[in-house]
Amino acid sequence: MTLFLQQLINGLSLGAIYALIALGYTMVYGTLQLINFAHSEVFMMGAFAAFLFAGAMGWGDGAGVGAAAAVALVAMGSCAILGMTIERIAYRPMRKSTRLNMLITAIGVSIFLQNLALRLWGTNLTFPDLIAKTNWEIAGVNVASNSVMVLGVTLVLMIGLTWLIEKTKIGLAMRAVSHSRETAALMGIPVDRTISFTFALGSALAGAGAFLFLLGAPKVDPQMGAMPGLKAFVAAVLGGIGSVPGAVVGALVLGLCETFVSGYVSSTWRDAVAFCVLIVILLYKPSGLFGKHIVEKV
Amino acid sequence: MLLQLDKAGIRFGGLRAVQDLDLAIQEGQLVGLIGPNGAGKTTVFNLITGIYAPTEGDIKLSGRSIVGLGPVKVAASGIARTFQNIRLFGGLTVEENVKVALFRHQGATLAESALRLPRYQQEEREAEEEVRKLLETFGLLASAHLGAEELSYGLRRRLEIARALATRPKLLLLDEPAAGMNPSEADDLMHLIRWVRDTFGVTILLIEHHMPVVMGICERITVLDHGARIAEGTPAEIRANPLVIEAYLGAEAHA
Repeated sequence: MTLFLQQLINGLSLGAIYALIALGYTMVYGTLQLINFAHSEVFMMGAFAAFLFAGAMGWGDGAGVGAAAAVALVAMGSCAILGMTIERIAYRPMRKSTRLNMLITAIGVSIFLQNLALRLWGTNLTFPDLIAKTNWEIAGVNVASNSVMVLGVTLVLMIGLTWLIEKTKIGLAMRAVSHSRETAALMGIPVDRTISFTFALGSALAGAGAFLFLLGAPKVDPQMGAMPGLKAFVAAVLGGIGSVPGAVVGALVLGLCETFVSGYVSSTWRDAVAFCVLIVILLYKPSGLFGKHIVEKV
Repeated sequence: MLLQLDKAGIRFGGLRAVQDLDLAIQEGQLVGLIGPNGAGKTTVFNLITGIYAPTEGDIKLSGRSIVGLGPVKVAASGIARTFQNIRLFGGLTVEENVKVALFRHQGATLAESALRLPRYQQEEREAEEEVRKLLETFGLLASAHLGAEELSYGLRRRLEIARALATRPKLLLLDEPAAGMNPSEADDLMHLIRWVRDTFGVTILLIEHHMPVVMGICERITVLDHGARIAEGTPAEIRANPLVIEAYLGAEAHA
């Protein structure tokens, strides 16, 4: 029972980070039908932004919660700007061409960003423990302050995101554009601005994800986006790509799968089982857990 | 003159889908565009709304050319439309479909709405009132919170018109607003359209196949056949025009 609760907490906090990244994939797919392969590099750049900003401010181990919050906001802001820039420079000119061309552009942007980071900042840098770590023992379960922070921050961001999508003008415009870009344009909705905002929002969430990821795994590296990015992409597909609640549920399912397999079976089997779950779900529900099954009209 | 097409036309490769089309609509008029299937009526709408750029001629709104502006700027300059195959925003409710079309007229920024500043609150109140009025006009108030896709066919057509009006257009283009309706529903809708014109002061150009209603409510009618204008005039003139009868019924019937 203790092991179960332990893995539950670990799984939820891992899933929360996947969810923050997966939302960017799913929102961009919802509006442009593009799998934004550069998204994992936006995540990586968020980690570098956090690292560089903390360094510039001279914040090291135990700098405190205020410093950590500032670093997180800088990571989110930098990612938002980066995401908008990528959309403006790389994807917008390609919007009228085929989806395959856009996909290849996304891969190109991804390779470019990885090499840019490698050239500018190098590999394998250590991110400071801005907040001193504590562990609480509750009923025999070891609860790390990191996990609590990851879950708390993610929960706040999810509530904010839901409010934004459901209750605001720009959220309404995002939903209209994702349903039909052409009709939205004809109804006077500024489509370009809405798409730009979607990228900013998704990228900012990836930035928050990067910061939270560094709390548990404090290594900053140009390659660090690849694996979390891939897992988050799998989570988005699992939940039904294009669906916001789907991305969150998919990410939590994936995170829980991974930690339970590590805990009860063996950590070497972790990724294999996670991907098998994906295959099984897609066999029975090809459009994902929350995906809409689209019937092609003939 | 609110809208003026001056020898407008478009070629798709060798096909002249619309050619040498002259059309002039005055402010406040209710004008019909009719013609047999494939005559190019919807293409004319696509030219006016900027989905296609004309390959020849000019299109002017209030005296200024709108050629090459593209759909977004054309919509912003005051032209709204509905579609032959209904294109509502599926994931949105009936109310949201109308509300989203007010976007251009709301200035409050995201920060203002997050902080609930006075400008946001006032805009929000006004928007809600405007949406409510439009829904009421079109008999959609009871279904305001349903998904747009749950509506019956006739109501979906009405919602499209309400949404187009929410953009506060000077010119409203209706592409077969009564398609798929029975004669009495079509008749109701046509009278509603006339009432909308009178109440909102909007100029309307409509494509329609229900002849009795078109003849009943339009002040001027333009007839297209094979992409060219074959007649223009009042309903009485159109009804008596031998070219129109021929286009609709074929030469034998006329002879």
